[in-house]
This record gives sequence, structure tokens and C-alpha cells, in this order.
Amino acid sequence: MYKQSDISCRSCTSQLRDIRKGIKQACQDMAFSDDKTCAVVLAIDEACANVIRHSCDFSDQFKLNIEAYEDDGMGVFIISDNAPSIPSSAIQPKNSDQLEPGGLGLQLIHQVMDKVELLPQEQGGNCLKLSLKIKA
Amino acid sequence: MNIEISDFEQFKVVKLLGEVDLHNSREVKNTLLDYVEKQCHVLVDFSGLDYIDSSGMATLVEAFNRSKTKNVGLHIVGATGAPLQVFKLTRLDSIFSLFDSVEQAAEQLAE
Repeated sequence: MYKQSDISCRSCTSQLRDIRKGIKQACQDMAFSDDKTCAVVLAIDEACANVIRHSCDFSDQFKLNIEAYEDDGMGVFIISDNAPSIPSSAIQPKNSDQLEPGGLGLQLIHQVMDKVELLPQEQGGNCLKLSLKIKA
Repeated sequence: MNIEISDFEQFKVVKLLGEVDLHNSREVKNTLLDYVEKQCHVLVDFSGLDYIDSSGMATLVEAFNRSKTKNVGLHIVGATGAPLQVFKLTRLDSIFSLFDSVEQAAEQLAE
């Protein structure tokens, strides 16, 4: 297991641009293809935006941490925060045939990543683990 | 992110520049809904756009749904790279009409 990147910031939408920059670099260091790098940057951005929007309710008083590392051919991304805990049902995509503006972010995350897990946190907060095979 | 507005034939062209995300997608939403409410036919120009997230795509869906009730068109032009990939991942490329350029959209929509 080789740690590639560790990004810490406040729960603020103005941080998303820098998060994307950091994740792009981590993906390139892990030798993801250009297409997969774009997709992973999008998925992590969506996950962080969901934390800021739903867990933090747009308050910038919480901390957000994104860890990226390679483990046995998988790119692993751990997104943790100290915001109020969310239920595991909150990370399940909606099944809808309707053209609705809501829920697109979760749909993207599940479409891009091989595995999406909400890890239990004994001391509060949330910890989302997203994994994707590096080579197709 | 910047927004440039221009007119081309019967269309209002809304050109998005830079990156659209949760931090600024409300500005895009207000602009698009404003023109749709005024019953303008809108071309959203992605040719200067480097990135768009789901909040930006949700804005497009909302404006698109509204355009239907207002009987006006809302189409996408110049989407390439990461923004085009987002259309494909969300399968919204089957909902929106995507054109290579403003000129191509105007020509084909006039037919």
C-alpha cells in the first residue's frame, strides 16, 4: 500500500477546485488512464460536494479530509469528515426513470467507482471509501 | 467561471467558461432560467468549459424541463473532453441535442 495524497480543508464549496486538482495529481501518480482520471476526479468531487451539501448543510465549520492511495492494483479514496453522521441509505442511488435534477451526483459516483462503502465511525462523522481498479 | 451572452440568429447563446461546480452552478441556473422564462431559444455553449459537475448538469435538466413548458428550445453546443464524458456517464446525451458548434446547431435546428 502506497499513500499518494492527503488533502485536508474546511467544508466549503470554494475548496472543491483545489480538491479536484489534488485528486487529478494523485490519479496521475497512480497511473490511471486519462479517461479514468477524469472520471475519478468527477466522482470524488461529487462525493465531497454531497458531504458539504447534505452532511454539513453548507456550513464551513466542519473538516474534510481526502486520502488517496494505491492498494493491490486498486485506487482507494477515503473521504472523511466530522459532520453529523448520515445513514448508509443516503449513499444509495435513486432508481428513477424520470428526468430529475436531483440524485445525479450519486449516480455518477456509483457509475464510475467499482466499490462505494460507508465505513462505520465510532466517534461520529462520516467516512466514505471509494475504490476503482487502476488498469482495465 | 464566467458566462458570456451573445445572440446568433434566433438563439440566445450562453457560453460557459472555466469550471462549473457546486460553488457557482446557481449563477448558471439563474442565467438559463431567466432566458427560458423570457421564452428565448437557448444554445448553451460548452466550448470554453473545462469541467462541469452534477450540480451544473442538474441546472441544465431544470432549465431543459422548464423550456418544454415554455415551448422553447434549449440545446448544447461544443461539448468535448470531461464535460462530454459527464453527459455520457449521466446518459443525458440521449436527452439533450448536442451539436458541434453554434453554427451547426442553428443550421440543423432551422431544417
